[in-house]
Amino acid sequence: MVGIGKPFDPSKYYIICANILGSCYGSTGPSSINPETGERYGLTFPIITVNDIVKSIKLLINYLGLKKILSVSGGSLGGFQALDWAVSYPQITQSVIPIATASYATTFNVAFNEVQRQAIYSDSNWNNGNYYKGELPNLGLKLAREIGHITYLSEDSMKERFGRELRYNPEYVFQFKEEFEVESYLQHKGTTFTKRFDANTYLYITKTIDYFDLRKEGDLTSTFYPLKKIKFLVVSFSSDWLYPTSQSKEIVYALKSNGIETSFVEIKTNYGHDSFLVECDDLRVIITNFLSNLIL
Amino acid sequence: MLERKDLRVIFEIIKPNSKVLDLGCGDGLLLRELVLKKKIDGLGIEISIEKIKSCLNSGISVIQEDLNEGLKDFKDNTFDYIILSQTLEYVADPVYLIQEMLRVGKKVVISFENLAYWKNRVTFLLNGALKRASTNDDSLFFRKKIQLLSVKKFFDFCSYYKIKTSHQIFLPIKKLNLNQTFPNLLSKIAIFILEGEN
Repeated sequence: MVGIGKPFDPSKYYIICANILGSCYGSTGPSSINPETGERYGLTFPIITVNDIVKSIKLLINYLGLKKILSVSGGSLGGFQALDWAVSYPQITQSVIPIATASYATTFNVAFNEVQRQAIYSDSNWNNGNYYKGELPNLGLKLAREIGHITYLSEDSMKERFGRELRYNPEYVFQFKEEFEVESYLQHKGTTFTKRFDANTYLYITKTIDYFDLRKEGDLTSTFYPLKKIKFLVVSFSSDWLYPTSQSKEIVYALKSNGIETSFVEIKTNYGHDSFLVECDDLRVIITNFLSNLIL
Repeated sequence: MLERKDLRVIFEIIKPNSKVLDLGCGDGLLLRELVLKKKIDGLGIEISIEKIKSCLNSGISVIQEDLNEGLKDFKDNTFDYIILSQTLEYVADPVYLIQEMLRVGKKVVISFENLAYWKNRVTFLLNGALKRASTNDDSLFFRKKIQLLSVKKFFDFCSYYKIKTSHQIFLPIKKLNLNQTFPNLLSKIAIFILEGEN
């Protein structure tokens, strides 16, 4: 999506892409050292909201001396940020492209996030977040990731990739150790994740998602009222059941109710929520075409 | 600029600065002309992703939607014009859609190919089959058109449902203008302007 000849083309646009506040990659989070104590923050780190992240990006924009933004775009949690940005800074924003996202975390989202957190809490090494000097709660993080990963796929894509194929033996052995391809795949995904991610950060990011709700007393239309001059391109994926098309349609409806220029596409895919990360020509063309009509 | 004759007529009908909804807007060329030359506030509805790419390329706002769902998300009387050009033939429940259009729009503009056009009658009489339209990119034998529309049928429909037709134009427009008198026989494409229910 980013590159010469791609939708977010650095030869055409000045592109900013910042890590989120609270992340264990390139930002400050629970795994960072608290300069006042010299120890890692752990759970003393405050819970971050999407609006906190958006405010931190605004500080970056100010620092870079930028006065206007041609387009704000993101998928999933990035989509939350794009929407929150538009609501927070409508005067300086020309367009928004929210992808595979929602204007609030659904009950489903919260439920799945909570079981992922419970997986980490129940790891004997987690120790209320104070694990940095000892054994890491990797089993818990691995399990959390496995759960999360299933929510990013779709039944069709899983069936297509793994079916009921067996991993090690030609026939059922009837054991509790994994036998099916999909079991082994999930284990692998979970294990590799623990090598690059921090367990506490996982807790914080899922909380950031859970608390997100742009609506005012359940109403999205009034929230979008100040966004009148902004152009929107809302994209959803047909097989995404984590942030389904219905969530995007709610956004579209609330935007249209305010007379806001809005386009909407539901791209037919098989990959579930992960679709927004998969190479997709339709997505590329749609975004490129939308952006080509914007002049700052 | 617009190739299709019915679109050129529809272009002339739309007043400047109005709010327009184009159902089944295709590649968005009509909306683009209207935006550029008549400063309208336009929105397209289209189901084909390839056509949507074209709309976005023209700077048109377009929403991917199946027209058979009606206009559920639209409030009453929101548009000055709702256009349905050569699309009614593909709609499963035309009565439902037209009633929705009359609810949401102040004026409704519908164009369709007249099945009862005299050339079609001759072709069918002689060949036992209708000629396939050359502009159609559908499959060779089975088209997706499901409604058989004629001018007479449309007049009957409007009369039955007590829909006010403020104006109708029958193409081709020739010097003698006989098709305005015998539209069911002589017109190839019919354009009807209906008054919304409010």
